[in-house]
Amino acid sequence: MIKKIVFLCLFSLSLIADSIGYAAAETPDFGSSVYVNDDTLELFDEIVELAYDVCGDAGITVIVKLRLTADVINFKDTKVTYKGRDYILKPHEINAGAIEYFYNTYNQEGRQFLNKVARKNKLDALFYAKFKKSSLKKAIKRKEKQSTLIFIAQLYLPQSGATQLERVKIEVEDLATEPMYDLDVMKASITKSYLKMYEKALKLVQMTGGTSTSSATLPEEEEQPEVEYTTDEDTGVSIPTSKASQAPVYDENW
Amino acid sequence: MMILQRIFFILLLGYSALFAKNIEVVPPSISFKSSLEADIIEDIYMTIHNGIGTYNAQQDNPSKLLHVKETFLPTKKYKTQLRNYYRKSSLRDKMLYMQKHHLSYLLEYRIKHSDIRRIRGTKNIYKVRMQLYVFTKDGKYKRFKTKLYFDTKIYALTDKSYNRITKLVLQALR
Repeated sequence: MIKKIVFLCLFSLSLIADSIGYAAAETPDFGSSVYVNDDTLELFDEIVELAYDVCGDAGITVIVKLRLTADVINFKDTKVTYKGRDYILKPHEINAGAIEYFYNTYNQEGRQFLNKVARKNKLDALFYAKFKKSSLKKAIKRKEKQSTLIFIAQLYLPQSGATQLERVKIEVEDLATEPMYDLDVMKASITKSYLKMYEKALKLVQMTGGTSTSSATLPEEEEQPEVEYTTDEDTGVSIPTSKASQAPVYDENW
Repeated sequence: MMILQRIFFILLLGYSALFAKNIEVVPPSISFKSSLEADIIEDIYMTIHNGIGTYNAQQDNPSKLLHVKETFLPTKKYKTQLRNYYRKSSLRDKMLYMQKHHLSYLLEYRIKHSDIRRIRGTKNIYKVRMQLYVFTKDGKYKRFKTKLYFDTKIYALTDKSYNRITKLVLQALR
């Protein structure tokens, strides 16, 4: 009986989570079938970087930063086994097998992968974000004057295995040729989505008894990144005050 | 203080693990005719998961949380598993399946090829008819029918449809 209790305690201790983490989105890889110019790639980099920065700026406790791009992998674990072979992961080093492993796990078995990351790093909650690649390909191929990109910000809670989504809509003009976008509006939308999810994360973490709640608090108004925001009554989107008059119109009834 | 906090957490964790209800979401078993169909089904799948997350966020008690079990994803790997599941689709078999996997709820959504149609007069809006079933351990089930709209301009469900799925899941789990 005592052995069982000790075992249960040890098992529970191993599950104790410490914090809220963030896994960066990957810059989309369009493959060879779609031609994407440098300006467009820069836009996607910008969005990924913004989401990455917002976590810190908005008060989300960033403990683990996972950068999953084609040539850069920063990961706490240094070894992964994939298809029967061991791969050593070193930051900023190209390692074909390991990259294939990450792409496959991140894309196809996303939930299992996130669960693994969250458990290994003892996280109460894990934020991550992604694009829908097929939608981006279509948007670039269509060559329309105005495109709406959907950037999906997600919250994964390993305690319950549930996810929460926030869809960030980004309006871009001339995506295929010279993309035009408002950086402040983009940042405001991303920040708003992350804050919403952060509130949910805190509530759930508090409820299930996570340990990060003592240190993590919602940011005060003054701590918001650089720009001040006003909320558009029609759309509910926070817009920087200086840019309020130039804000794009979001149609809720698509 | 830290030790006390940890002991409290262990107790809470044990309590929530004992009473947590498990749930699984099963997507339709259709072989996709196009990437559009695959995208629609995946989008709905993600949104249903969001509904479950919203359900959890609304609870005030950890014992009422739904623990989401590993689910069938609409990928090739799970195709056989899905096909087998649908072959044994009688209510009795579902109950056995739920018992075997220790599930409190089983959410299943059904879409046929003919349920996905482009709306006449539009180029980019597709109407999707979906049926959502929620099965419980005692062999009871509820069915919800809904119409969803998928916009190929943004390649995602429209905002209204997105909210509708979330509401439907909450209604189903009530």
